[in-house]
Amino acid sequence: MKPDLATGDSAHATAPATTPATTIAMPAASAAVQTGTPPACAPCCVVCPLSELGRGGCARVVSLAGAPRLQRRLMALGLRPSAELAVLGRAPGNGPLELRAGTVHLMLRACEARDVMVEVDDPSTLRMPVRQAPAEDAYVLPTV
Amino acid sequence: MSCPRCDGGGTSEGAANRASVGVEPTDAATTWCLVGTPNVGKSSLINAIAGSQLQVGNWSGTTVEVASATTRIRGTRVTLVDLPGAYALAGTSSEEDVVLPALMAHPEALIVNVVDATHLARDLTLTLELTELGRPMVVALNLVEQAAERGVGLEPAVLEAALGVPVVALPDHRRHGAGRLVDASERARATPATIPYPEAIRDAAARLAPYVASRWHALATLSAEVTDAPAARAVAATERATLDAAGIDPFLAIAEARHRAAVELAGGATLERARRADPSERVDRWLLHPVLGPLALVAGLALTFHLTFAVSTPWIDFFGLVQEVAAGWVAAMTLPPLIASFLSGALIEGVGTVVSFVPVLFVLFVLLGFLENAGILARVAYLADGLMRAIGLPGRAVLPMVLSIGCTVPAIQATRMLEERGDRLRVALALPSISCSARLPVFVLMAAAFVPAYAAVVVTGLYVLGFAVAIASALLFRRVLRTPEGSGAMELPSYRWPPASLVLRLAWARTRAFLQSAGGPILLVVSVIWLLLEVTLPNGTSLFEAVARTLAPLFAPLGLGDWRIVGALIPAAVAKEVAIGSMALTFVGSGEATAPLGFLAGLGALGVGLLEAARDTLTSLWGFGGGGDEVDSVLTARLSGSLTTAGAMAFMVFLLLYVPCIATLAALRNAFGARWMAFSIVYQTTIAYLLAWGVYALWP
Repeated sequence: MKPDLATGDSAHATAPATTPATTIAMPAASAAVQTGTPPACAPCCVVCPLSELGRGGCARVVSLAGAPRLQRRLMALGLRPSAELAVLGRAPGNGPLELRAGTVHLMLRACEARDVMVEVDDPSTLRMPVRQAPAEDAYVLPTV
Repeated sequence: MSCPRCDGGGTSEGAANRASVGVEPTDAATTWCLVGTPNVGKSSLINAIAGSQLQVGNWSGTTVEVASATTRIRGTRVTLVDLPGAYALAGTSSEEDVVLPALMAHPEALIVNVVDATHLARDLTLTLELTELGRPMVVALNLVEQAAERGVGLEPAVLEAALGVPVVALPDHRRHGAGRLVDASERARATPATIPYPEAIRDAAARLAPYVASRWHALATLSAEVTDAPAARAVAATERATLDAAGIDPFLAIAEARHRAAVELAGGATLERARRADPSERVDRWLLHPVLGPLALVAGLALTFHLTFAVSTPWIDFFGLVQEVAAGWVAAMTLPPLIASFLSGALIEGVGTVVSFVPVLFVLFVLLGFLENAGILARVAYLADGLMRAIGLPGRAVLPMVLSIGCTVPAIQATRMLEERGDRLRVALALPSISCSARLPVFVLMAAAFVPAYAAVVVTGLYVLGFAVAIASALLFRRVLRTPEGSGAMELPSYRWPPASLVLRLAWARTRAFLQSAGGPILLVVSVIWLLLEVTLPNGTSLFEAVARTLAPLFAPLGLGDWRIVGALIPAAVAKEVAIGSMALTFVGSGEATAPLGFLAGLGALGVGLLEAARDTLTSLWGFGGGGDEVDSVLTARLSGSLTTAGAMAFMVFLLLYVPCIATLAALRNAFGARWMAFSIVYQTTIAYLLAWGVYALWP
């Protein structure tokens, strides 16, 4: 566990309520081309582990990693590449995430959510502001 | 061993449970295997068709519980087997791992695929997999009304035409649904679905086909989900290499093709009106709230604990009275002393011990069945997971941990709601260290006798020590056993009110399974202890005293050199509070001698006891009755004469942790087999000895 992400509350406290949806509108073509994401992706999107998403975040699954058994389980529960999901809540004490993926309402441990890479349309729903990302390589930011 | 027609897998675990279920196959017999995703309502369906015949037991060679029932449908004996819920045929947990072998073990069985209409696309993925087994099957659409409430209408006929196997919608009134299902079963067909797999995958699967049982097996071998056919493995490896070179991941490609086909099927069979959200999610905004959620969890756990023990206590007392009255009747009869002693000391005592677990287990299983089928257990897992993960256990383990403060036996039974065998074993092996209510009277007596000023502190300290050892054990077993851990990826099913008949029948079937497997061992141990006390050696001492005197030097380093103290630990293996009675007998010279009741007086006492139990059950719903035990002053005085304070501390620590009581051991054997039971005896006794020695050495 990265120390910066250890407690939910502090992460929420540091997340500024900036970047309203309008400011992330960018030329549609560039992002899609440079990140190699499907054209369905909104103009500006951040690819990050699902565990980085805070409550109320929406995202699209990009890829799954980790043990094959877990991958199969996630696929069966509806977390398959290109599936849309919403974070409905996070349990206290770095507990699991409460998600909705399609019609399925499910929980997923934060450590397992790290194996699910998602693309987020609205970076303000991340628990950590992108600029203070602890590991640079965890994010693929489109260059404008 | 629930599967009545399965003799395979004679491992120790399977053997331990052989007694639990036994239905003989007959001539005109057939088996229906119910397959579906978790929480789809398979057990409700089995309950609607043949509920009164419900039996539970472990699947042969595993710790996975499988329910079954045999009934007569239109002149044919049908055995319904309720397989564990699974999202896919290739398992992702030790429960799901049972499904495919079970289906293959019944090549003649009809597959009844129960499908959740509210998650149609997801569940049809499993349906497609099942059709690829090339076996006769029927699809039963469940929760159709709930789907309609959420704005999703279904057309079973369209689905049937597209799938090529009979599809029936089960109405909420399940009795009618059962009839429709029986009609459909007569039309059951094997029609492998046509799924548009990529060309390369289809060709590779065709080349694998001669080595495996079905198209599903060919595809699963190709994607390395199943590797049990050695001949196919080499072929699959070369095929995989070819696909790799072409840039195709067989697993992803197959999963994607099935998913698309399922979505298309579901779309075709669905009339979508305005889709409304699941009302459960609105409830969850309160119950899974970051602040209110944990409060609700604590309240819920406290209520579960209270109900389990408060409701069952009057009945345990009542069965105790029955035992006393029966012993009185035996005493009144003119029998040879040895036989009378055997009847009251071994038989009635042993049966009484076994029966005393019935109320608490039944109440627990009713609660568990409710929590499980109502969708509440998944929320407990969600709320407790963060905290429990810190001690290396999954969130659901919180319930067994809390229950074990009351009694370890139901707590071990409650571990079966953990999905993964490794988690279950770790929790069950850690539980005996937590102090149960049977150990409390001993602690209270000893603490009052030796450290009257600090009695509360000492007793609390013992509870803390018990929890600390349990947590340390759980962490240690995680390191050492390296069994796979259960995934935290779990569905939060919609809240549902489970049918009362299902909950009650399941609870009774589970209680019966415990009695059948635990009754024998408990009777045996009680009889052995009776024999120890009964047999008198030529030199005039009892065998019990001789054994205790032989063992005493072993315990001298713990400050427990007195044979009477060591002796108290032997019968305490039946139930730990028996240590007090044993010491009373050896130190003071008399047990609690109550005058035996006559036949009529006994009957009268039973009637009054029954009424009292019924009344106390009602009053216990809103408060704990009962007072504390009275401390025997003569006994405490004599005890302080033969034990130092340090020795008393060591005795309490040893009693807290040594050999789990016989009922706990029987529960362990029932769930995990004799080997793990033996391990628990050795492990607990070693820990107890070392810690008691440490306490004795370090006590100021």
